[in-house]
Amino acid sequence: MTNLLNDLRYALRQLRKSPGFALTAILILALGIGANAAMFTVLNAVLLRPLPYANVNRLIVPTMFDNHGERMYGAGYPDIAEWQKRAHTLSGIAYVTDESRFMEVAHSGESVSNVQSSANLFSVLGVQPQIGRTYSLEEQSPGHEHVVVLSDALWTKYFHRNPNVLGQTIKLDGDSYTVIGVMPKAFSYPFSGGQTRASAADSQVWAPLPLKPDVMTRAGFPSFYSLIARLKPGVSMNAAQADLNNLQHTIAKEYPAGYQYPVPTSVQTQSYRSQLTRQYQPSLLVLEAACLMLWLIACANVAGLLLVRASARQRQIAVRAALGAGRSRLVWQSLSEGLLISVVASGVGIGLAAVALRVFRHALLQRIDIVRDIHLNWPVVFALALFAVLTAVVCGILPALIVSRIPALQQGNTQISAGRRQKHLREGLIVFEIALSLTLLVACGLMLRTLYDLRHEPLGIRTDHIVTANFDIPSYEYRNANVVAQLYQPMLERTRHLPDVRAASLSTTVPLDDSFFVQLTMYGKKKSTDPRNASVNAELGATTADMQRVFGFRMLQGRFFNAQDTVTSQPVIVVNQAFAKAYWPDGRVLGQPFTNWRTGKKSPRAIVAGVMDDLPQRSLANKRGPQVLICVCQLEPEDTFYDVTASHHMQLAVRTRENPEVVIPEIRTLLGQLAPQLRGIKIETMDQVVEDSMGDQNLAAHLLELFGGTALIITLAGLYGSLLYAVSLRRREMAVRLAMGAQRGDILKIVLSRAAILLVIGLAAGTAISFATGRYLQSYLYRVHSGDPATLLVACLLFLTCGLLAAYLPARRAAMTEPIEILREE
Amino acid sequence: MAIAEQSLIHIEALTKVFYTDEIETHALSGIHLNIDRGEYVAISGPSGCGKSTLLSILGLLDTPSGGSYLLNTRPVENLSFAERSRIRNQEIGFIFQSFNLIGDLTVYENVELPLTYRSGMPAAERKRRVDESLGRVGMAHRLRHYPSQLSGGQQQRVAVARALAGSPSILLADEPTGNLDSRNGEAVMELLKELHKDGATICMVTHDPRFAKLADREVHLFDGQVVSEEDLRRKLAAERELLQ
Ligand SMILES: Nc1ncnc2c1ncn2[C@@H]1O[C@H](COP(=O)(O)OP(=O)(O)OP(=O)(O)O)[C@@H](O)[C@H]1O
Ligand SMILES: [Mg+2]
Repeated sequence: MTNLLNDLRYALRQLRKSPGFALTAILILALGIGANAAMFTVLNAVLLRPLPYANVNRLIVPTMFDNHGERMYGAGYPDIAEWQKRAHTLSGIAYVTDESRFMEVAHSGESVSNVQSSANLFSVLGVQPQIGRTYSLEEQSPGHEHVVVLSDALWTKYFHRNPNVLGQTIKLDGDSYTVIGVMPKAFSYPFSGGQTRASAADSQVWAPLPLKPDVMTRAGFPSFYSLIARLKPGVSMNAAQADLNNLQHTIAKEYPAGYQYPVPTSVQTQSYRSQLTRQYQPSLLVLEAACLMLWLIACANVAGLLLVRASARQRQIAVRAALGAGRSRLVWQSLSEGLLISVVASGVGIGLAAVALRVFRHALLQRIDIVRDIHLNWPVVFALALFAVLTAVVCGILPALIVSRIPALQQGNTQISAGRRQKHLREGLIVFEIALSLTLLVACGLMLRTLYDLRHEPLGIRTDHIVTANFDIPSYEYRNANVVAQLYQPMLERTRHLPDVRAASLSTTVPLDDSFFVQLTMYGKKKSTDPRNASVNAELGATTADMQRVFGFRMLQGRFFNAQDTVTSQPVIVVNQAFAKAYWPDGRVLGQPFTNWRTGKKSPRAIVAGVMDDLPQRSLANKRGPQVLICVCQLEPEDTFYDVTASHHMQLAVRTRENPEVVIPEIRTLLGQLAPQLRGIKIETMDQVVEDSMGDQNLAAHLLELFGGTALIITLAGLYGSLLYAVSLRRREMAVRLAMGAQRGDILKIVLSRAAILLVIGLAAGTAISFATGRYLQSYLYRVHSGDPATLLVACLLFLTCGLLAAYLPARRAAMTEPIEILREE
Repeated sequence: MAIAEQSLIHIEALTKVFYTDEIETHALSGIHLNIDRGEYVAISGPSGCGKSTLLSILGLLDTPSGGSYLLNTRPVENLSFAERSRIRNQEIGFIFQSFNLIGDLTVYENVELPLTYRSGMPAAERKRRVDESLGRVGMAHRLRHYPSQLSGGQQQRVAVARALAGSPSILLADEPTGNLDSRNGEAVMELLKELHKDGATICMVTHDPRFAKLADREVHLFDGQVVSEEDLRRKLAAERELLQ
């Protein structure tokens, strides 16, 4: 043991003697370790964070699919009730729906997420309230449902954590509810780790889901609920899936003949945790892979440096071996240097990681909305310690093997050669670094091309001089009123008269906004055998006539809405080209009747007035799907689409004369005057919205630029260092060649061509790796394919150029050798 | 005089001064030397008298500080590096004390090396020359070996073949037997004598009086100057006395 410590001390002394080597190695490893520390922190925060439920891994989410294999957005009560009775793989299954409501307590209030659930939700999740109780099955019967459980945050904010909250009354959208319990701190369901759009994450209340008669039968259009279930102990997820699938198969047969909606026939299950993280997992894993590559490059680089040191010490080591040092002792001695470097580098790496996390924190939190904060913590530091040891082993193992093979003291050699094995090892490491760096560079190049393409994508709209404001409607205030007449019309009227405003429109959806989405599914229009024609999924939006003037898009057929479209005129719709193609494949679109405008026999049918261009929808990279627009000004509260479109969420879009930023304060004031709740809403320019919609790609591109750039620099440094060392070993050979009449150019060529060979092998290997791994990147890419030859070519050429430049200096040094000076050293 | 200037090597008043840390070392001070085609000259003298320095200047590895040097009647003291490389490649064959074979190259490739720096020599011609010169030193059977797989004497014979391959005007050897045991040393000396008999011009530095005697002519150097044999003996004796 003391021997081992002595060796460590010896290693420290050796490092102090060569501070240049030590600093280089530490810096390079710190970059590799730091990137991983930062990335691992993010992974830990997103994928591995503890969820506030008992035994989380047994919570599963079943999803229904209809007979066409289409995913359904929940399950109906009759089916759930059957499962509760007949599924023997589940210990419980709960159903949930949630919506945003305005909560009033005494004289204050805010928008909250109101979750309505079956009474067993809390037992399925395995969580008890911290005070009071949760609701019972009886409270799900209509008329008894006006009880509510508060989140810890709301209890703190409105009741100052006073236990006498129990029994008090609050209002949700104006209805009174009695508080019966408060959930523990950190509890939320549906899980919301971050900030959601509608309300602060913690602002949740839970109330019983009333089982009204129409919910309990299969008579009308089914109400869909989300599901959460708990596996019985010892039951695997696959077993549960098979069980539910079988069950649903039987249940589907029990549906009444002539049931006119899609019948759920199959079930897929997923763990709740993976449902939460699924969306981020691929991209995070891609970035983590990039980090690991960077780390491997750094390790290879430092291994190369250590190898050189080991060769330089070979004689000294041979002496030790001759004096009886055992092999393990020699290996440990060689490893100890790597260990010291790696430990110090980990310290520096944590610092780098902290800096990186601070720099990217905002962008990360914006993209990943299930986490609230990202910071280094103990699990990460612990993982990092393991990582440091791993790094030391990976870096030190090659030199250690070399060391342990020194057979005996060799007498002074009379020919000129560096150990061939070591040379091959060193060059192998360089090739390895080149290959991985190229992979990172190619990934970076692909991201940059994607960004370029996104930036130059023809949008079909103008984005300049537009301001958009995004707001939720305090709908309970307009519950018995016509929000169109009372809020929207005046808002448009007054906005239009602002001096800098050319045109103003209100829409539930504007291009590139992902905050609100209404899915419209048109079932079985024709008796078609082709399942694709059986239903069309489209985005439904409501807008006003000036939307075209604001965004300046093209109409392909017919007209857009205009001032003549009012509540008294014929209801019309405008569809986009994608919808027209999918729904009326024969091309006859204009004047086609669409759907009943109202429930009831006497309802007028809406007809198609025009076909518009496909506009970008939720994000630039998303495919432009079918879209149906209705006119806000034709809506009245009793119309079918009034509730789903006009009464939740609106965007005001304004075309300005001058710099749009100038108009923002005016609009803010105006909206505040119209409804006090609209005072603090987000108002931004359309150019900003476009930029934000590239956020994922932007972040990935920046990170990959960082990784790719670092990898390139480390690799070039490695190439440079290795060639410099090789040249120093070959000084004598070069001198002899010069004495034999070689010109300086010949020597230059020898070194450069060696570099070129390494580069070409490395680049070839890198190309292979790029092809093999490209598909993991594909989800990030837009238009460009992951095996894009142009990107690959540019990356290779860039690398080759930089590589030859890095090789030029050692080559020049070799070529400038004065042969006589070296030959004299006989 | 006119005849002397026709010599293969003609140097006059050659000096070489090394400047290190404000110390001037006069390694050569006014050397006059002629070497004719086909001659075998041995240079001897005490350690540090300037033998190696003279040989490097003769081989155009170094430049003199003063004096003139005609190689093949052509003044060479002020040529560019590239020009000197070209002449070294064509006119000079070096044999070093420590062989200086390149460990990563086979015997064949080592011998071929000077020919690869000669532009436009076809591969077949190179092969012929390599085979021939390896044949002359008796190493034709070891083409594919690496230097580390040969004995010291064999390595030096390969080095001689390498010097011969380019058919140079003169072979310059600086203590070619210095790293060899006496038996191998004698074998190499035997080889040089045979080459001389076949017409090669050789200039060799040696310590060993036995080997110096094998040459046509001995040149004695003392303190950077050419001296006669008696002079040398006298000066050495004086020096010994001084030391005592
Ligand atoms: N590069 C140099 N810088 C300074 N002095 C030098 C240099 N090369 C040679 N000298 C000096 O020049 C003198 C002649 O050296 P040289 O190597 O020619 O001697 P030598 O006759 O070959 O000796 P030896 O028999 O020991 O090989 C010596 O005094 C030496 O110290
Ligand atoms: Mg000498």
